[in-house]
Amino acid sequence: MTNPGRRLDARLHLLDRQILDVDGRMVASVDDVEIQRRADGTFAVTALLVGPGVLGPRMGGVTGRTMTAVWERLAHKDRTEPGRIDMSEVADIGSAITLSVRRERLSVAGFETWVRERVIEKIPGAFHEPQE
Amino acid sequence: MIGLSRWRSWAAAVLIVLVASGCTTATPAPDAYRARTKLAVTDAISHVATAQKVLEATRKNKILGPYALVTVRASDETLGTVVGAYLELYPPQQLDPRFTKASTLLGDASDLVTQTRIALYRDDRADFPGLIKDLDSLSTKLERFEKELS
Amino acid sequence: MKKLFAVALGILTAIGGFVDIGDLVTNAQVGSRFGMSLAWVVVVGVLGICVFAEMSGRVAAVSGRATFDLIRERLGPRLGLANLLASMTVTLLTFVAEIGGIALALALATSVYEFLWVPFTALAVWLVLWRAKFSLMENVFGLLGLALVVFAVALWQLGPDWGDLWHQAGTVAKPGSEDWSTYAYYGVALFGAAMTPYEVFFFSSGGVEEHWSSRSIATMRSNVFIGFPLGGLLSLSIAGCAAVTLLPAGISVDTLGQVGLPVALALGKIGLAIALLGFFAATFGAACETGLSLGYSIAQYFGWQWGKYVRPREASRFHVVILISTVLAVAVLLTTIDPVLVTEFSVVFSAVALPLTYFPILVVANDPDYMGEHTNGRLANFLGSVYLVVVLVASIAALPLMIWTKMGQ
Repeated sequence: MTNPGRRLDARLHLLDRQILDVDGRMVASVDDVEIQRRADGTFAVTALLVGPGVLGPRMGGVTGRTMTAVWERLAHKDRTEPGRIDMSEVADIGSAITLSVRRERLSVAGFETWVRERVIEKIPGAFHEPQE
Repeated sequence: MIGLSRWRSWAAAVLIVLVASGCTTATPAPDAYRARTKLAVTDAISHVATAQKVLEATRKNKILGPYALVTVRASDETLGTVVGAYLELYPPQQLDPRFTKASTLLGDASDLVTQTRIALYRDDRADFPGLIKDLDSLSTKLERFEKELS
Repeated sequence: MKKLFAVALGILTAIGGFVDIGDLVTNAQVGSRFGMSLAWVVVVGVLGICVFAEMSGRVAAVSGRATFDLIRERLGPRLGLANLLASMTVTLLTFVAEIGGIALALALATSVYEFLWVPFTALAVWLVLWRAKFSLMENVFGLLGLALVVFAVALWQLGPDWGDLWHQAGTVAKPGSEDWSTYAYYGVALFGAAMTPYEVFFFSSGGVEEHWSSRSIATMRSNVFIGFPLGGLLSLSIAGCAAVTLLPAGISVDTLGQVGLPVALALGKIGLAIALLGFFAATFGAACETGLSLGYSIAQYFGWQWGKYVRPREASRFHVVILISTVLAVAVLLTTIDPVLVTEFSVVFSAVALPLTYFPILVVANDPDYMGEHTNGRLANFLGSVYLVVVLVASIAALPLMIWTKMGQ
């Protein structure tokens, strides 16, 4: 973490916050966090978790179960392997969370990639800047 | 999941009642019939007046041809639906005889708006003055009838 | 000079972009049935959208975060998801109504049936959302929407008894033939037409698209506080035209053709052609805004990349949502449902769904953690709280009134 002097409430300052990459492109929302026990007995947030695979269990209820089930089906994964962004890649925590890497280097955008390759890139103009 | 299955059977029951209630024959109570009549007459007044205004504007060359046609076409369609739905109702048995006038007037209104649409489509300018006069007199009749109803 | 031009352009597009199919239809309906006696609702609604848009615009400018992003953060994922589904349903309904409105405007211009226009209009809307630059879209349709000023000219040309119109507007009274319940129903509908949730998604997301910062607040405020009230005057002149020509003839508005009829009577063919251009621009612009809003809200909830400032391939999920929404809208309209009826539903459901977005924004606008020194001032908080009550009352009353009056019969 970049500013160790500041106390952060994981619930208030991390959960559900927008994650931006180093270029300001949107990556995901923080759907859950990974917490590990350090050697000295204290707990630390070690990663941001993203994707319906973690959001579903966090939500709970019928909605949450459905969300997890659909995700497991479509992503061919189970919930033990969620999208994970290590805290070492977090540069700043403000009204959004900014990373120190480009989003292409993270492997958290399965659905985005699928839609891009199967649908969007097949439509003419997908690579163009919006026109005047 | 007892709670859920009970909830489901309630939902099913409500759904069945709702669907079934849509299948009953439409024999409204006299009061409801009166209200429906009044509503249909108010609609007829509105669409007859629209046709009349559009025709008047066309005669004075103040309205674009397609606009005039589409406006009257929409009025014709809407009024047709309203009158059709009204005539499908079964009047209650001991009904005030003056209500029989309603079907005639509504039928006339629907026909006249249809004629207006056709005249506009064919651009029969010679027919316009006569139609405007007919629409005017039907408007007066409908308005008088509406007053009688309330 | 350049700055002045930018401010003027912003205000003009805010005026021209204010009116959409909901405002066109509802104002004409109300004018033709209740005269100017519901004009006060337009005033209340316009002030309300000013308060709401200023807050969400300020939040977007200061925090760089748009509406749904914050709604999820404030309400948590569960309640946020329920909110998302409700808001998207209403916005989709509005999107359908706007596309239907474009088709109706084109039908009036050409006499080709509106349902034949539906696929082409939807394709055109999608193409604009796919290719055109955000500012271009906003400026072109905003400026063309100013054509609706023709309603104000028509009202003046009709030479009404202004004293009588003022009197109608100044007293809470209704024509004898109408019930108080229908009066209340149309009041809620008019409020929903003036304060539509998508306007706020669009406004705040647009702020992020155009990279607003704290320094943009002054420009944003001038757009809101000058542009929206003048746009509201357009709404009132549409109602006024209907009150002067249609109400005395016993015409109550059911079709878009009837909305423009007073302009033809007052100004003839040229005036009517300008009104048609206004219909087209207002509905087309609003269709773009609602279409984008659908993409914005779901993408902001899940944290996906959104926006027109990037290439489509960089915001694939956002664009796929827009694509699916457009196809869905075409499918709904091709059932040959009457777009005017869809509009009537959309304004009422807008009133129902409004607190869902209003309340979280009010909370965030007061949170120094996001807003720093730009939290709500005393006036903004006073108006914000008053409108919270107004918005809640309208929301709770809307559905019972709709059922009780059978949609205002």
